[in-house]
Amino acid sequence: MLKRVHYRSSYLPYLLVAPQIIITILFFIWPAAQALYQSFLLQDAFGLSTEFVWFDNFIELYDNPNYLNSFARTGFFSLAVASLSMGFALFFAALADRVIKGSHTYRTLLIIPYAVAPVLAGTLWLFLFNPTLGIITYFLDTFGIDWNHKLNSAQAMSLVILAAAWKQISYNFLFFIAAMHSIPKSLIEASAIDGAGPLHRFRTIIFPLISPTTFFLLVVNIIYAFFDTFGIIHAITAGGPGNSTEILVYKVYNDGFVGLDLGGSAAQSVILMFIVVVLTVVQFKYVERKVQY
Amino acid sequence: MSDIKIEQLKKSYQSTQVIHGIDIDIRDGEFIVLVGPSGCGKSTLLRMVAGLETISEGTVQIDGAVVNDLEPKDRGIAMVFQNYALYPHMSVYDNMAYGLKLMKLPKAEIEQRVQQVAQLLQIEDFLDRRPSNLSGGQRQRVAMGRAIVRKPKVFLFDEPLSNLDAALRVQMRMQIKTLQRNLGVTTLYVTHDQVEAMTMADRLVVLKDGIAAQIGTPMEIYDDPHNQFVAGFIGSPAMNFIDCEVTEDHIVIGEQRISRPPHVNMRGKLVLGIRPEHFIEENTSALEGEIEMIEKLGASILLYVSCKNVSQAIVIQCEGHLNVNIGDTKNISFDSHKLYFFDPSTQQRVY
Repeated sequence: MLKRVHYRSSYLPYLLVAPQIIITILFFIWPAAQALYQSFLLQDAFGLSTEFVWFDNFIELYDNPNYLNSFARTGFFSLAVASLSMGFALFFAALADRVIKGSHTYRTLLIIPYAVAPVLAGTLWLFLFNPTLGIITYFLDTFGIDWNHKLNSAQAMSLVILAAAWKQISYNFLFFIAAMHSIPKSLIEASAIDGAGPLHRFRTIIFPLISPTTFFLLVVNIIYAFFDTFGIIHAITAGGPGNSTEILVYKVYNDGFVGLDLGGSAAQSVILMFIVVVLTVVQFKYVERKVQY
Repeated sequence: MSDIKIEQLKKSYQSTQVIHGIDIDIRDGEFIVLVGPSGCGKSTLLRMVAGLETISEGTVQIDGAVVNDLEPKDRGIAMVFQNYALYPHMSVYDNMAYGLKLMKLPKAEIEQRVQQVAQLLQIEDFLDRRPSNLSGGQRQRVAMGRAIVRKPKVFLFDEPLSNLDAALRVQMRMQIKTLQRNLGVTTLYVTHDQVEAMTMADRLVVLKDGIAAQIGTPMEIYDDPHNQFVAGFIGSPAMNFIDCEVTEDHIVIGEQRISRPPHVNMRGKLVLGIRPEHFIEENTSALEGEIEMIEKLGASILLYVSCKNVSQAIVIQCEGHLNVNIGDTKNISFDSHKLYFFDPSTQQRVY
């Protein structure tokens, strides 16, 4: 049981939580409510006439092949980012877990990318893969690969996936290594005595035991790919070429602030909001039950 | 059939040496208990035999073959850990079968072996449960089962009973001992509990600060401790140590003196050791002291008696129904043939 602290004055607790509440209302609740309201409106580009249209904006989205394509694209993008960054993070964590000398240095180096802002990360990869100046483009050229993500949509998609995944590896790595550290050492020793080599041990002992963390990261990574990759995409491709890297969150921006279709854009963000709510509920439900054992 | 030979075994971490050259010869089928206070290196020694710690110097031989550089799995050992180290995501059956599957045994043989051991340990009803759904004692048995099922040459136990409650510990103690005798597998058993050590061991290795202070059967060590540490560590309640001076005619203790038994031929300042159970009810050659504390254990009663100018209270074990009160004056008589004398500087036994 948590102990309840009783304050003598009745206003002090309210005062103490007020900053948090105010920030939440000002930057989260109010804009969300605005978006919800906005999604029921139809407005001309100059904001001169506004009409309440109920669910028309949503119905239009449902009928819009562009939007549905973007949905599929986002699904592919987020799964690719999640699996790539989690795969690498797991690989690095498994190796770093076995390092004895200088493990702190390894870990620090692996964590640094997390501190890089999304736009900077995007710009970094943009330079590396710049069709005319990029050093990786140069190397690819010697292998006969002509890299131009400004023209080739598959290459553009791979590049944003690569950049987005790279940035998230650190975060996943931290969680994976923490999870591996929390496995009692005697379990690993017991399996060593039972005759399991490192690979078999990883597959049969370590991986199953960190599965709650894996599941947690999967949800977090999908949410990351859905929302936090905006900066990377904006810096690298701005959704192009064509619409080939326009994921949902980027389309919200494009339709709303470039295309000035505020109602449609708001409707899209309401749908995104709904997706986050579902993911969060799923995560809490399962992570709290510790998944499988 | 396997014996273990440990020769000049040493272990250091960087510059600190924790094991200072230990020699033990273990015969086939013997139950050896490594006992000592925490930090004495007993677990490290066991883990070096298991192959979980590297050996800095010296050799470990199992069946005449040096195993220093062998992987744990190639040493023919099985280990039971203090926290049992059961795989939490596997059923009891899979826990026991894990090692057998890695040996690439045919499925039918795995099944048959696991069933047989489960029957032996009376865990056949829990085979499809997860370890988290078992009680402490059941987990303990599963951990033993996982060790037995591999048919190892050597069992290694690392304080396997310390997580159990007292009653269960006594029960498991007997089970492990019986099982070991029936299977006839050479066993190394680590504990800090001297009662566990005395009751289970064929031979004891008393460790202190990385040195084998004494090796012998429980009774040898009880009757004939080589130094003050071993004398104090083995036996419950612990031996009394009293500073004294032995002169031509007397043994001087604090401000009192008793006549010197003729067979005590040492002289000078010594530490007198006497076990609480070796005091006798007699009025001759007695010390006098005041009863400070009384502990009633039922069958026996422990008196803590303080004598003038003796730093520690002397513990005396008496018959359980003795009628005494705190503050009473008590005559203390020794069985003069059960006295031990230790050199106060080297702590070695001198008589």
